[in-house]
Amino acid sequence: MRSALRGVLFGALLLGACGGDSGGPRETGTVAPAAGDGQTATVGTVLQPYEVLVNTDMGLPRADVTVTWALESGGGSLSSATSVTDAGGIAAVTSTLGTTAGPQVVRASIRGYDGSPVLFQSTGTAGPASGLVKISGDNQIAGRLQAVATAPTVRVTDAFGNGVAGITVDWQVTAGGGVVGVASSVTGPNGNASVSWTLGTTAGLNALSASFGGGPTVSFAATAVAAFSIDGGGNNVAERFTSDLWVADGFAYTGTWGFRGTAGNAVKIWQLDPSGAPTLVDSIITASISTVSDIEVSADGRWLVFTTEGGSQEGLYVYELTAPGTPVFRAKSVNAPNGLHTGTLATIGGTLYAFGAKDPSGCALVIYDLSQAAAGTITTASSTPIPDNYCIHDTFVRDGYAFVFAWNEGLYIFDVGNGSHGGSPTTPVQVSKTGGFGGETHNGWWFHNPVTSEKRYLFIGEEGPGTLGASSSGDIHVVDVTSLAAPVEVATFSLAGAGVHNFWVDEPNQRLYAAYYNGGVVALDISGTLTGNLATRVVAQVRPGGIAGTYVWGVMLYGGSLYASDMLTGLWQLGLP
Amino acid sequence: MCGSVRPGRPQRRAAGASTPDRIPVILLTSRLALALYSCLLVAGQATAQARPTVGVMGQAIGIVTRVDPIPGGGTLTEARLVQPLLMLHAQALGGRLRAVATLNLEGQTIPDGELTPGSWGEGFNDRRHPHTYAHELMLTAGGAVGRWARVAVSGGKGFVPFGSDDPMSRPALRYPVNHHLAQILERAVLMAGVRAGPVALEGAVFNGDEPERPGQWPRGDRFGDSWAARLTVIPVPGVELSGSRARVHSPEHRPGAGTDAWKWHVAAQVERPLAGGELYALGEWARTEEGLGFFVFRSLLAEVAWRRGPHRPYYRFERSDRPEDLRTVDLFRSDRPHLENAILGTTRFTLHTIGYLHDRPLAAGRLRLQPFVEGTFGTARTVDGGLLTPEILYGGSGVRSLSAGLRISWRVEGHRMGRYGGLLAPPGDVEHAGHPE
Repeated sequence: MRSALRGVLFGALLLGACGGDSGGPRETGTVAPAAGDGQTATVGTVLQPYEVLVNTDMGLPRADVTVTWALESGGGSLSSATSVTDAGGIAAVTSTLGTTAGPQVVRASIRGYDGSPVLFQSTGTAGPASGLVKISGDNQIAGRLQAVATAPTVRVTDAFGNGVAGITVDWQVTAGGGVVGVASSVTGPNGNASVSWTLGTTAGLNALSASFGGGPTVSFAATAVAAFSIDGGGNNVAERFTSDLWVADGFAYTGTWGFRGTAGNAVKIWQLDPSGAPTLVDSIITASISTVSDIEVSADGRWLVFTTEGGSQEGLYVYELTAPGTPVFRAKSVNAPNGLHTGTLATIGGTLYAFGAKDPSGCALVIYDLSQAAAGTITTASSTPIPDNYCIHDTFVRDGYAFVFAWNEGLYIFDVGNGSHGGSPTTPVQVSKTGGFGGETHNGWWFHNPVTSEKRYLFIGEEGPGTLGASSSGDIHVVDVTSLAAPVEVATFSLAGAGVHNFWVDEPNQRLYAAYYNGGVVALDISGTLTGNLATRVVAQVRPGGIAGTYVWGVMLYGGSLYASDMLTGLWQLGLP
Repeated sequence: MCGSVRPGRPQRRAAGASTPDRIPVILLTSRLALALYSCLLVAGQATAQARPTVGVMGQAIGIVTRVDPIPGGGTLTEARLVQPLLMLHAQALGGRLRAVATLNLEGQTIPDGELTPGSWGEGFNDRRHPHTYAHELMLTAGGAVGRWARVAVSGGKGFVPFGSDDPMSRPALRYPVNHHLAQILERAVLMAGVRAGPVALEGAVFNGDEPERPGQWPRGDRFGDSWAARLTVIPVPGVELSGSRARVHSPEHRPGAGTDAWKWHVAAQVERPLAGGELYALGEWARTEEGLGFFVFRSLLAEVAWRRGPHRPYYRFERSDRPEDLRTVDLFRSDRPHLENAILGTTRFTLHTIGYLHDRPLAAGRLRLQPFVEGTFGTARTVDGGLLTPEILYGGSGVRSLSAGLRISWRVEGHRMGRYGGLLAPPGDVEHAGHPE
C-alpha cells in the first residue's frame, strides 16, 4: 500500500515537472487578438467568434496549437474550452453573452507564448423592456396638498431583470385627486424613473399608477392627512441647538442645548407679531451652564422659570416678568454637581411651586417653594428620592397630583396636595408606582377631556435610543388612570422611523400634538375611547425643517398656532391642520 | 484536576474567543469557585519542593504631547507623567499558585486624563482617562494535566478574557481609540481556562460597570451580570489567532440601568525573528453593539513593530468609531452618568501613528531607558450626522498629535498585560507556565 502511494506521488511529480505538455522542449511563440474584441449586443446573444493569431518566434503562423478559452467574468458560455489553430495560425471560439447586462470577459491562453493570456471584452446590453417593478415610495403618509417625502420610483426591466434605459414611463393619478410633477419621465441608465407626487385636497387614500407602452402597470398608495401650515419662524437660531419652549402673553421663550460652537447657556426671548410670527428681541445668558433643559412661565404670567444642566451653576433659575418679555433675575438654586432635567410649575394652596427632576445622581423629585422668590429666596419644600434607574426625567402636575416619569422605574404618582392620600408639597405621598410602558419613560400629560368630562387617559412618552439630530425611537403609550392606584396601558402609537419627545394636548379639540424629533410634529385625534394601535388616529404630520433638517424637541399651543422648537432650526409657528 | 507540571518545549503566546449563548451565571460562578478550591487543594498537597518567589516591576513615562485640534478648536501642549506602574508578580507551589498586582498611579499624575486623539470611556472623550489605582489584583491557580493540557482558574480584579492585550504593553505609547472596543478591564472577574495542545479556551463572569474614577471599586451587587469568552489558537510558535465574544451589561451606567453591549473581537498576532531583528504585528477587528442594535461601533486596527538592537520603529493604523456624548462646560469631558440611551453622533477616527523608540538597557537589562518620539495624523468624520460632528467640536476633521518623552522601566520588558493562567505557554512548559505573561 505504501509503495503504491509512493508510485502515485512520483507519477504526479513527474507530470508536474512536464507541465502537462507533450514533453520535450516547450514551444514558444506569440499570441495576439485577431478578431471579435469589443462587441456590444443584447444579453443572451451569440457573438461573432473571438479569434487569436498564433505565430512562431519568427513571426510565421503556427498551426495545430491548442488554445485554452475561459470565461473570466460576466457570465455566459463558450462553444468550446479549447480550439486548435489552423494553417493560418488562427484559433476561434464562439461566445454567448450572459443574462446580466454588463461586460463579459473571455480569456485565451497558451502556456509559454508571449502575449498570453489574451483578453476579449464585450458588453451585454438589456433586452427589450418587458417588466416594471416598484423601487421606492409606496405606502406613504403626507399632508393634504403636500408632496410625499419619497418620490415614487419604478424600474423598467427586460426579461432577465436588467434595467432598461430610455423608456418613457407614464404616471397617472388614479385616486385622491393629487397631481404629479410630470406626466411621463424617461428611465435613466439603471432603468429607473421617478416622479414627485403631491396629494389631493381630501384626507384619505391617494393612488398613482405607472406604466409604459405595452408593459404592465404598477400602483402606489399614499394616505393624505390634514396638513399643518408653516406660518412663521424657522431657521432663526444658528449658533446654538434649541431645546424647550414656552409661549405666554405675546412672547415666546426658548432654551438652548449642548454645544454647537457655542454653549447652550441662553434663553432666547421672542416677540410675536400680530400674526403670531416670532422675532428675536433679547436673550438671557447664564454663565457656567451648558444646557437650558426646561422652561415655563407661570399661569399668572409673572414668573419665568427655567432649569439648567452641566457646569458649576446648574440648577433652577427664577426671573420675574416685570412686563411680558422683560425678565428680571430674582433667585436661583444651584444644585451642582447635579442638575435639573426638567421643571414644572404648579400652584397648590395658593403657593407657586416648581417640581424639579434632579439628576444624574442623587435622583429625586425636588419641590421648590417659590413664594419668596421675589426676595431672592428659593426654599426646598421636599426632596423625594427616586431610584437611579436612569433617574427622573419629567413631571406633570395637576389636581394636586404629581406624575413622575422615571425612565426604567416607570411612572410614579404622588399626592402633593390633592388630599386623597394626605399628601402636600412638603410631604408627598406615593399613590402608585407602575413599570412598563416600554421602559425609558420620559414625559406625560394627564388628559382632562372637557367633552366627556373624563380624566381617564394619561399619555406617556417613551424615549428610546437615538442619535440626536439624526434619528430617534420610542412610542406614545396611553394609560388608563381611572384608578390612580393601578394605571393600565390601553393603547399605543408608533411612528415609523422616529421617536416621541414632549407633547401638548389641545383638550377642547381632543388633539394631541407630539414633538417627534426627526419625525417633526404629529397631530393625533384622541377623542372617544382609545384602545390598541392608534395608527389610524393620525391627523397630520409636518417636518418644518425639511426631511433631513428637522429634529423637534417640543410643541405648545398658543393663540391658535402651534409653536415648535426644533433643535436644528429654532422656533417655528405652525398653522393647525 | 490540577496535575503536576512537566517539562516541555518553550513556546510563545496566544489570544482568543468562542461564542456561547447566555451562560447561567450562578451555576458558572459556583463551578468556578469549586474548581479554584480544588486546584489549590491539589496543588498544596502535591507540592512542597518549590519556594515562593516574588518579582517587582515598574515603569513610568514622561511625555510632552501637542494635539491639534482640541475640542473648541486650537492646539494644546501638555507635559505629563503617564502610565506610572508598580507591579508585583508572585508565585508559589511551583508556579501553580500565582498572584499579579498592578498599582497604577495615573489617578495622581493625570487626574484630568492625558491628551490622546479620540480616546473615550469613563467620562473622558478627548483625553484618556486615568485608570483605577488597583489596575490588577489577580490570583491564579492551575497547572498541567498530563503533557497536553493545562487548566487555570483566576479571580480578582483585572482584565476580562476578551480581545487583545492592554495597549500599555504594546509598541505605541499613545492609546488607540478602540481601547474600550478591544479590551474589557478593571472588573471583578472570575475566570477559568483550559489549554489543550494549540488551543486555549477561557470563560469568565464579571461586573459590567466601568469604573468612573481612579479610587472606585467594582460594584459587588453587579458581579456576574456580564460574561466573556475567548478562544485562542497557536498554530505555530509565535503566531496567535483569537476570537472573543462578550455581553457587558450596562457598562456606562454604573447602577445598571443602561443597555447591554454585545461585543465581538478577532485578532491575529505574530512575533518572530525577521531580518536579524524581532517582528511584532497585530491585526484586530472589533464590533460593539448597543441599544438592542440601534448603535454599532466598529474598529479595525493593524500595528507592526520591528526591534533590532536598540532600534524600535513602529507603525499603527486604526479606523475606529466613537460614540459622541453630551459634553459638559469643559468640552474635554462628557456628561456622566448617562440619563438616557441617546448619543449625539458617531465619529469615525482614521489614524496613522508612527513612532521610534531607542532602547538603552542598563543593569543587565533590568533597567531600561527608552526615549521616543511618536506622531499621529488622520481624520475624524461623522458617520451618522448627529448633533456633535467633528466640525462642530473641533472646527475641522483633521487630527494631528506629536509626542516625545522618556520611558523608564524596571523588569517590565516582555510583560503581556491582561493574560492570566499561563495558558499561552504550551501545556508541558514548566518554565514559562510559572511566569506571568
